[in-house]
Amino acid sequence: MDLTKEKQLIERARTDPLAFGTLYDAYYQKIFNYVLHRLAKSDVAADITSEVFFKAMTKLHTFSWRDISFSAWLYKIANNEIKMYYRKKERRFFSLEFLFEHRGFEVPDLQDIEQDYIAAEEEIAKYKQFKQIQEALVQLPILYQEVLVLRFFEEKNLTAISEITGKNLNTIKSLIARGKEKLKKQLATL
Amino acid sequence: MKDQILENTKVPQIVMHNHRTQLRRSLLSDSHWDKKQNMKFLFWKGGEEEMRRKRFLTMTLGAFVVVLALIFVFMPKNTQKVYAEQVAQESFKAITSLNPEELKNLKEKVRDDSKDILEQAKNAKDLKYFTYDEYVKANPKFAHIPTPPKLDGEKIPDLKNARFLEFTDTNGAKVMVAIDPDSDLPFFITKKIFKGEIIKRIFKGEGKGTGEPGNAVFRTQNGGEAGGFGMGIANKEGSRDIMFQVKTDGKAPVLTVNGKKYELPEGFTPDPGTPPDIKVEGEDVYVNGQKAKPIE
Repeated sequence: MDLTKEKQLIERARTDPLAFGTLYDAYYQKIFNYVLHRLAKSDVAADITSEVFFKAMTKLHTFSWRDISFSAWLYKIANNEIKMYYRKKERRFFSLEFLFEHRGFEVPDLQDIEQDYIAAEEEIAKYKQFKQIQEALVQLPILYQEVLVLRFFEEKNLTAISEITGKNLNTIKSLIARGKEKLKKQLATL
Repeated sequence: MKDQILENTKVPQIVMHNHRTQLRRSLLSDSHWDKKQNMKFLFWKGGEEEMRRKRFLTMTLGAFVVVLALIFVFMPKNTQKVYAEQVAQESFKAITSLNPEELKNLKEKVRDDSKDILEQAKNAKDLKYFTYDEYVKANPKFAHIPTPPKLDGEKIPDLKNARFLEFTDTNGAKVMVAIDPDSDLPFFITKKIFKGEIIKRIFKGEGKGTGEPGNAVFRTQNGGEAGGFGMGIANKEGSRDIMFQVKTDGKAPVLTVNGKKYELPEGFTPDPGTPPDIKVEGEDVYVNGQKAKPIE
C-alpha cells in the first residue's frame, strides 16, 4: 500500500470503521501467518490475531507515525501477545467467542472456523521442515524466536526488524547470528 | 546446506478465510465505532500524548483568545462609556453652575435646552464619547458641516479640540453634543430624527453657507443674516431631498422640496425648537399632517 494513502487511511480509521476495514484487509494475512509461524498452531494464531486487531482498533488513537510504521506497530502488538501467551498459557485471548460474549459481537459460525483450523493443520503438516524447525525454535528464548522468524520466515530486512523489536541494528545482527547457532544446536538435539 | 537451513525453509502461508471474514465483520460492527464517531472531534493526528498536548495547547489558546476578547472588546467599551459619562457629568455641572443670563445665552447659542440634553446624555444607555477625528471617521459627512458661527465676538471653540458625545434621546433622535474642553459647555448640538424612509437632520444654530448633499444644512432665506434657522432633510442614501427654510424676520416661510417650493400650511408657526414633521408622498408634501401648497 502506498505510504501516503496508508497514512490517510490511518487518520480516517481512528473514527471510520470502513477505513479500518481496509487496513485490516491489508494486514490480516501477514499478522496471522507471522503468529502461525511463531507458534505453528492455527487456533492459537487465530485467537492472537483477533486480539491484535481488536487492540489495534481500540488503541489506534495512540498510534503515532513518528515512532514506527503502522505495519511495525501491528507486529509489535503481535509480539506482545505472543509473549503473553508464553507467559500465561491458560490466558484466554479475545477469541471470537469471547468477543461475542463481552462486546456483543455477532455470533461467529464456529463450524466454518473449525473447518479453517482443520484445513490449516493439514496444510502445516505438509511443511515438514518448517514443523521441525518450528519445534526447535520454540525451545529458544523468545528474543531469538522473534528475530529469526521475522528475518527468515517473514523475510523482513534488518531495519524493519529493528523497528518492530525496538532494538538497534547491531543488536539485531548479533541476535540473528547467535540465534542461528542456538537453533542449529537445538535441531541437533531433536 | 545445514547453515542455510533457515534461509531455505519453505513456510506455509495459510488463508483462514472464515476466521478472517467473521473477525472483520465483528470488529467493524463493534460498539467501539459509535463512541469514536461521537468523539470524532477529539481525535487528532499523532499519538495520544501528542493529542493531549494539542488539546492542552488549543484549550490554552482558546482561553487566551477569550481573555483577549474580554480585554479588547468589553473593557474598552466600558472604559469609553465611563469616560463619556464623566464628560457628560462635568458638562452638566458646568451648565448648572451658570447664572440665568448665561444659561439664556447658551440656549440661544445652541438653540436647545443644554441642561436637559446633558441630563439625558448622563442617563443614556448608548452614550458614546468621540474625539473630533473619531467622530468624523464614524460620520465622514460631518467634516463638511460649516463651522458654528460666532456670536457677538465670542471666541469660537475649536471643533477639532472639542469633546463629542453621542446618544439617543427620549424622542429617539440621535443627538451629538460638541463640548468645549475649556469651559465644559456645549457649543454645538445636532439631532438626527429617523422617521420612516426619510431621515431628518436638524441643525439648530446660526450661520450661512451650503452644506454638502445629505448633510445638516443651515441657510437663511436672504443670504446669511442671523435669526433664521433651517433644516436639511436627507434620504437614507444621504442625498438631500428636502431643504426646509424658515425666515424668522416676519417674511412668509417657504418650504423647498427637491427644488420645488411650497407654502407652509396655515397655522403652522415656525419654531426652531420644535422641528415640524415633514412627509413626502410623491409630489405631495405634508407638514405636521397638513398638505403644503406648491408655489408656482
